[in-house]
Amino acid sequence: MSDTTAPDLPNPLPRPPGELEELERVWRRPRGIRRLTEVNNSQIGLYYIGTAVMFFLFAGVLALLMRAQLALPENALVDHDLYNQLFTMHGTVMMFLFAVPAVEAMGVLLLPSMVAARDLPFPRLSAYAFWAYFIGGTIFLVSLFLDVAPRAGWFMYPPLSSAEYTPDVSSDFWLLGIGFIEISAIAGAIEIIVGVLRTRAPGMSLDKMPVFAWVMLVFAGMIVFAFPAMIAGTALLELERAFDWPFFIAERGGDPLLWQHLFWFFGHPEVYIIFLPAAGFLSMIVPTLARRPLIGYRAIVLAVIGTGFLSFGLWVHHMFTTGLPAISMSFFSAASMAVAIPSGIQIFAWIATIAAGRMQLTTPALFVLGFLFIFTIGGLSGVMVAMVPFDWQAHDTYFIVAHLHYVLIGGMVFPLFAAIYYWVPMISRRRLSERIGKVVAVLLFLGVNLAFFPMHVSGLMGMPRRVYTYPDGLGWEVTNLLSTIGAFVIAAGVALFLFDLARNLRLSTTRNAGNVWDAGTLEWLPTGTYQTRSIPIVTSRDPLWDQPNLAADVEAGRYYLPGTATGRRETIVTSSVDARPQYVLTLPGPGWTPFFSAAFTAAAFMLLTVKAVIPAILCGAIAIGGIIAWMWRADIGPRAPVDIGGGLRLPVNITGRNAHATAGTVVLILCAGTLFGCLLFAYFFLWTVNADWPPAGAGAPSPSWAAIAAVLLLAASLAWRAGRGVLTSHDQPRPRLMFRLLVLGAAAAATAAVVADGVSLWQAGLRPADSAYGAILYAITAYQAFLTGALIIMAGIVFARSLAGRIGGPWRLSFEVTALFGHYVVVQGLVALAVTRLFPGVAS
Amino acid sequence: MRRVTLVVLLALAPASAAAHGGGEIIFPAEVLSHWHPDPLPLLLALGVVALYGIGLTRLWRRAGVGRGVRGWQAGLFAGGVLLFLFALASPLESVTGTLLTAHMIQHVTLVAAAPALVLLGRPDIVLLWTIPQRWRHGTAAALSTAANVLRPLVRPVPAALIHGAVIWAWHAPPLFEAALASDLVHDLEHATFVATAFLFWQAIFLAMRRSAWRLAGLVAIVLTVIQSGLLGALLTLSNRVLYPAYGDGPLAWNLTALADQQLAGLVMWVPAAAAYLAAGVALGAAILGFTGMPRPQRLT
Repeated sequence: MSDTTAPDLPNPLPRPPGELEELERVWRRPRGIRRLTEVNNSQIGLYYIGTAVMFFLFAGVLALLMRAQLALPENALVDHDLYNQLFTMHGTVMMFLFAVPAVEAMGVLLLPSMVAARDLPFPRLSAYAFWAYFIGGTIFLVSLFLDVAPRAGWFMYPPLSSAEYTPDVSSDFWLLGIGFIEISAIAGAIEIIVGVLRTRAPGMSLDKMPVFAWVMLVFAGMIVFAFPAMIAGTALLELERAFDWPFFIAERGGDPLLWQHLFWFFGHPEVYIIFLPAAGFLSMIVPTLARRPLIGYRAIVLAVIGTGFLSFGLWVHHMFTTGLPAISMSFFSAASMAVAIPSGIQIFAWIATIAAGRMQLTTPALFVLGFLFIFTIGGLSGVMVAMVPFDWQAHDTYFIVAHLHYVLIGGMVFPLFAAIYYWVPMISRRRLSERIGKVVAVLLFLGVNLAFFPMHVSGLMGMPRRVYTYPDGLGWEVTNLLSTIGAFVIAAGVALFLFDLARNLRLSTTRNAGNVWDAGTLEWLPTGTYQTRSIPIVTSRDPLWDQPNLAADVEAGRYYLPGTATGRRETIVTSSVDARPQYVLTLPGPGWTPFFSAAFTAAAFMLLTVKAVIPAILCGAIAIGGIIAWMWRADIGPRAPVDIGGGLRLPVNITGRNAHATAGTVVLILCAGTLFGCLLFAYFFLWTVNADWPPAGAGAPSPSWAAIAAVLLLAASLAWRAGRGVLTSHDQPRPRLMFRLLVLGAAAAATAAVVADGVSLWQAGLRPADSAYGAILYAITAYQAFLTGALIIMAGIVFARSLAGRIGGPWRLSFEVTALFGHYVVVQGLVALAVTRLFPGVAS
Repeated sequence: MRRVTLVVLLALAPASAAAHGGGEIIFPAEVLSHWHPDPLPLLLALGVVALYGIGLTRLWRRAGVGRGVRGWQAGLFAGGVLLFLFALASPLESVTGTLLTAHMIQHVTLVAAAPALVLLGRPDIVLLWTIPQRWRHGTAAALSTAANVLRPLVRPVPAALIHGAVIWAWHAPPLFEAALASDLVHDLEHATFVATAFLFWQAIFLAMRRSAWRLAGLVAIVLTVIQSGLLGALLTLSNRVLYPAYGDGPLAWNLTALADQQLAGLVMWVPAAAAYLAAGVALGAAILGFTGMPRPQRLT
């Protein structure tokens, strides 16, 4: 509450007639079937969170079936095979189709209004990510009804999940379905990172950003570095299942533990990927309910950043019982407990804020208190399992089931319910019922404790997890019956919540219930389909509390960009750290390409699971065609500068280093690089497993082919550079031809390099199915080929744009991102060649 | 008795004896009597400290004590120099031939701790003051011209990638063992470690001062945490001895060769990550400490 003086407002009153109508026309939402074409993030966010809640209900029903089966000893409600499918699907759906998408959805829904952007910078990417998730997730669920659902547990450990022990397609459903949904999560993460960094309201420097935006930034950053490990793992396991490339088969030099490392390198950050956004909800809700600014803003943000770092250090504490070196245990134990520090900082900051303010016991407040209790118990049992000797006892028992549910329900579900009750007034004409909500909170709190606390006891009495039944007389009857009763109490609470939604949720952007909590952050500004009428200047962390007139001034159009400056959807792009306005970005309107591309991408992946290769390729081709059509219209080129108010003239759609698309490409490259790093880790890990590297009898690829490939890659890089030079020089007919030749030449050189690489492996007599050595070499080359394929498509678009006159001079953003990606492909190719060709020679 | 057995065992294993850098196995009890004889690090350290002292005296005499460079920064510089001496001129250096873990403690000190502390002492400012005043300007200009050549590399992400690549390359067994066998190669290894570590840390500290670099600084630190963690993990998780040159040396410390390697991996994995974590949190604090509250008329 530092600066209460209102700055001089940039735009005078009255506003010219027709300005608001024009803004409304540009942002008008499509109706009827054309709702599928909507790309606006705040609308997609609603679809997204609704879908996540549906998956939550579905996985919850699976849990009820399991609890019904376990209510009595030797119950015969479901048999072991169905039970295996139930727990695998319950865990998978809850983790991959509910928890991560739900928090990502909340980000997509809340962030535009929280940072007062008209929209995030890549709306079509969000729409694509959502539809891919919706369609892919739904097909994944259907597998349960066809008796082909995955049944090897939510972490799919080989060899149980490999072709030998799960010969049917059930594991393929998991690998391709979940791998695909991870890609959609990454797409969402790119949108969130660039959105948070580049579309904040002017003046909202990073130190004035709402905690939730910080948390989503760290969340998305963690996805960028964690999810590629999962994608690498699923790709390798699927290659093993489909083509017998033995990454995880010990007889041929593989190692099943490699899967566990890749899985938990993703799985450990995943816990925080789920928890941090939920903690972000609390950091927004607690100050509002306590009627005072958050205590310890900086400490909380630092704790969030610290958690992000810590989570990448230590994944192996999920693997205490896999035969890790005894000497390492104390290190891991100590480092596992270090995670308690940042979590503790946040919890104490919330408690301090509650204690220093006057907390009203509203429904969100009850959920916050429930969170504090349940999550703390989960944390305490977490400290217990961080003790290695205890973990050896408790591992794979119901104690772990109890622990993880306390952590996830306490850490994610309760905050999400608090968030839904808190933010519904922002999207609905009526708020949810306080009376019903309190009953929901109490039922969930009692149900969760009744269901999961006895599980600690079951576990300590030796009940293993994942058993479909248990014999009478082991003393497990009472605790299991209590757990089942608790599960149905939870179900009653959720049913009541649905009733509340049905009665009170009436979606509306323009006539929503508004700032019923008297909160201080920007998402409570009055909104239309265009978000806020004008884009405010932010001078503090709780602008609505510190600038009493802000809402009225924003609504009157006295701040920046009160209409549409270009006649299109648009938003202001600001600098990433201190949020100075840089340019106006025009945004795409509704269109069919994201929906159809997503549908056909999903179809391609799902057809692959049932080995329908030709239809899968066709669907993939249609999906790529859709994306090409979308990219064709993506870069509309710079326009004349426009006035956004206060005499501030901004360029429209700039090119180069500061462009939003460059930022998005950089994030994509970080993802691609992390995936490549995971493949290199797999390469070196397999080397540590195999004393003979290369294995006896494996041929050595000829070094001259590798040298040719390296030269080709360097040539590609030079061609990208030269192409940029030609493009930025005078746009004469001859240089235009030169430019096209350079683009094609660069793509061709990169392609020839990867072909030379593959041919040299084949000529040396290496076959991927022979040994883990051959398999990982081909996997690295295949990944390089995949990226090169993407590059060919991008270069083709640039080439076609040049023919169509849609590129040249300052209009060159699509070329610049292509060249950036092209340089990355070169670097990756060179590193791959260096490792695969030089290392085996020196290692032997 | 046990020691005698070991000595006999070792005498029977000529391959291992030849492989140690110093050629000699050092037992825990003898550590303190094995100060490293190489005078070079000691002389270098004395020289640098003397120059820093002269520069600091001149600076503080001119600007006032604690001005320009603060007292704690000078203290960190001294701490960094001491860490360099600990790594290179203490018995630790002697033990690196016996124990892989000692070698990794040395490396982690050289890359993750000592250069960071030295740079925190702002030697760039202080050492400039050692030059007589009339040449100071010219020298600074000449140095900045030279620095321009390095400028594309002194950026957080490129520096982190270069540093990471150098560390990974030296851990390929033949290169690592070549360094054990030859003092010259060993010095080259340390020189490249330290040089790229200075590059990395200088980029990180620049990122703390330049707001536009801070996010790239965070990315560079995440990459470094992941990179050094994965390398540490490979050593820790391996079921076979990757650097057989250590032979039976670790037995003198009651460790099998494999346990020694696991401990070495953990040193790289956990304590090194702690140093990077500290840098990451400091960078986050720099971002949050940013107080440039732009007024509307200055927004452009």
